Amino acid sequence: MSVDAVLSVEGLAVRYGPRTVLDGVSFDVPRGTVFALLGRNGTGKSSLVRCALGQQKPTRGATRLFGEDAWASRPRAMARIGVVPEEPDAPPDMTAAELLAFCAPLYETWDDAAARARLERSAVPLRAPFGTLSKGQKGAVMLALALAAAPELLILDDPTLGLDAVARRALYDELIGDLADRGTTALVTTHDLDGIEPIADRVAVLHGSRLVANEGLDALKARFRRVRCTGMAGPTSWEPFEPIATVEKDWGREAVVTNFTEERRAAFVARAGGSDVEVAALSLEEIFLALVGTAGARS
Amino acid sequence: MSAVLGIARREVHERRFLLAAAAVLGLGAAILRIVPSAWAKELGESLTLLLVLAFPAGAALAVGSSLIGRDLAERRLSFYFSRPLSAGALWAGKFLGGAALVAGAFLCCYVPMVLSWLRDGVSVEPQAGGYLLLGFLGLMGLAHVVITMYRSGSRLFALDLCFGAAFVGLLAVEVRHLTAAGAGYSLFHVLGPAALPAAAIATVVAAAAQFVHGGADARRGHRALSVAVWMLAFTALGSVALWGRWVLAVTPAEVGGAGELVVAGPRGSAVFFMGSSLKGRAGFRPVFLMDGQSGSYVRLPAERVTLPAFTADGGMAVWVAPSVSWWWYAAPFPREVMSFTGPGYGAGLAVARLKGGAPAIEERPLEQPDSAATALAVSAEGQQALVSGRSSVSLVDTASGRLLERLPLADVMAGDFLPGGVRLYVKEVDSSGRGAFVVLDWSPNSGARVERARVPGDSRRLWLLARRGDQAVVWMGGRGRLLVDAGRGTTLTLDSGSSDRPGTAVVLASGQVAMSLADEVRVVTREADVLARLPIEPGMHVYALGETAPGELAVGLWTRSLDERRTLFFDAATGAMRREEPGLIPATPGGGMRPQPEPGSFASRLFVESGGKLVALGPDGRRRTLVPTGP
Repeated sequence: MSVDAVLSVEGLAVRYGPRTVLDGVSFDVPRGTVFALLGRNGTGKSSLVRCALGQQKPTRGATRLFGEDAWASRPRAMARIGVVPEEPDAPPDMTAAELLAFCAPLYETWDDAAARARLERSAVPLRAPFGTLSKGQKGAVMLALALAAAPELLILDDPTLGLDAVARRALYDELIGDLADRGTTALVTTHDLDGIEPIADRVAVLHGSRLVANEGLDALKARFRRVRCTGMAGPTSWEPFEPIATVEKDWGREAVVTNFTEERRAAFVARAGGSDVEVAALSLEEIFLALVGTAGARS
Repeated sequence: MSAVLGIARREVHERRFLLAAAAVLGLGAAILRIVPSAWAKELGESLTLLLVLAFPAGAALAVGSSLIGRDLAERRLSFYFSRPLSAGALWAGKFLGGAALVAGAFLCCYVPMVLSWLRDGVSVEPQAGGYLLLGFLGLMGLAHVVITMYRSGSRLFALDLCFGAAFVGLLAVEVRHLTAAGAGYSLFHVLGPAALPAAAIATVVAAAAQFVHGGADARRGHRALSVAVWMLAFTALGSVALWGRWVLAVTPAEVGGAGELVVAGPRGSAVFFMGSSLKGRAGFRPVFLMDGQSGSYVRLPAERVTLPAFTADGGMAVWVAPSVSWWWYAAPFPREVMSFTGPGYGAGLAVARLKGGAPAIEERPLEQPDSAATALAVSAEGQQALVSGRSSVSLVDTASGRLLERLPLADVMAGDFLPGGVRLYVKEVDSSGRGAFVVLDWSPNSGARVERARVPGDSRRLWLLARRGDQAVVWMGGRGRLLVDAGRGTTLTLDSGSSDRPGTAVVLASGQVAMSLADEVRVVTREADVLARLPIEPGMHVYALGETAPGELAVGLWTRSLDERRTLFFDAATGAMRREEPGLIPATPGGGMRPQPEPGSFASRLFVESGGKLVALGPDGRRRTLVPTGP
């Protein structure tokens, strides 16, 4: 565990009967980072979040919040954590005002005015039962509740699921504003890769119950490149690159490589002879697709 | 604490319609009972049961099943688990809210009902509401447990079902065992009220274990819940079994010795008795059948023992054992169990072999039993029993319970086996209340009936006081006491006084008769000549007369003062007092229903000391304690 980690996941395994959802997953969420946890549906993101929140005891391994076992210290840790769940889970008959009133005494750092201001910005009626709100409004309420306690760690489990573009934008705006103001650490699981890419510092990808990537987004984007080799006279192998997805076309070949550096590019160009070599940067989504696609599974 | 109250308030707020519905229904039913209209009152009465039992029960089930289990399984509790709330606080808040809802719904229904009952002059047990509320809270906990187990989606639920079935099965066995032994009252009315809060607490404790160990993890919580529930349930079951063994092992001393009617055979050393105290062990008060020589005894369920009949040698006792279902004990009726009465339906025939040592008892079903059946007599060899019922008298095979012959004859007070037949002592009653005392010889084989004696009189003032052989002493109200000799077919007036009380009498082995009058005991010959008059001091009542040895008349004197009770022994022929036994009164007061003990027999020398100590008086006057007094 890193000394400065707010959340540490150590050899986490979760099994439901014979089905292994997570197996030996380890990573740290350093303080002050926005940590994007990516993965396809059913890869155990929500199970991992529940373990991280101390709501589920893992089959093996542990999750630590602020250095303490999450399962054992959940109530204490929750005072320092804000949570936006995948499905807004507030009692449906409570109004936003009642939710604020219920939560306020539970936190020492509760900022009721800020929470009300956020709800006002999101045009959430304070007196309407939670169950009658739109999906976007529910999300806004959950985010307002999560941020009102000025948490040290914000855990967002697919917060944009089912939101329209405007609601998604509003949520990210609120989130970015809070992150910029207070430098809150955030763990975000999401399928909205375009949305998370601008704010994520670090990315972890779950695939096949295991972690297949865990590094800073910049580093990830630096080493993952698309390399295109046109003309048929080029080298038959991709050395010194490590390709994870390759295609053969009539105009030549293309690969996503995981260890791109300028030195390797120079070496590959030298080997390519008369062929043209083009190198393109990848978006987070393209990297994710490359990792969890067939090649990713093989890796 | 504020978090707990906040969650509890949430629970109440979320289901506030339950309270509103209960209040509306409760007030509505109460108002209907007050409205001076027959149909409204009837409707109100019908609603009462629904409201007092069904609605709160439904509310308890609804609240218990939706309190935690469903939300936990559907992960709807994550909102609370994402807050700085301990599992204990969440559990406490949820259950506090649930309990408040159930209690509120119950009180909304119950209070208007009680007020309307009190207005109508109906008495209401003060603790009944408390027990009902505890029952409903237990029901809420039970619903929580079952729904949580079911909704967890775990395969453990199948194991829960197996444990549940085993628990119910074992509990049924234990209930059957205790009710069959006659401890049903103790089970349902002593242990039951204590078990209700225990069950309610157990379910709440199990839910606490579930939350503390499982938190938001439904399956992990289910495991904790199952372990807690079944550990508590089977521990409780084991405790009930041990408690049952302890209750059933009650000793005569613990139920106040020989407090009520004592029945002993004309010969032999067997004696039936019942304690005077209802406390004993958890209120269990059996009938004891004791061998007076060895002191060994068996316990019989009081509700299943009617007045026994003995063979002439005292080697066998037979009694009708009515069937008593477990629900008879569970029903919330006041306990009015009298010794040797029994409810008198669905009867079996119990046969006890009394050959010294612990009596061996067998039971067989009675073929076509009449209602209110009682054994009157057993043949000398013990092969046949004479059983009277509300409308007939039957001859029954004691080995099988098979009906041999039946005579449609009501109000048979006593009977004896004679060579070739039976003698019946009958109180005939006509529709005007007039009646007669009739002695009838019946030959079951031929069906012949021969009337040996008939004494007309007022059926409401007709008591059979004593009988021996052909002689019977009958009190006929204003006609006084009569000596009926069935052998000779004669009736002789023994005293012509118009006593309001039947008193007691004994036919001595010599054929003379001793009888208690208002202020004396009179001994007369079979021709009604007075042999002796034994004056009784004012304030004393003759409780029993007996013949402890041939020619020795024992007069048991009873008074409210324990210290003054005593038995005087007289020479029956001369009236000379031989001795006095202070503190003793005869244990078997006699009466004409059963044959008198033989002079000098064990039964004739049984006495009860003040406080319930049963003693056998030796010929030398030495007292041998059979049953010590209670603690």
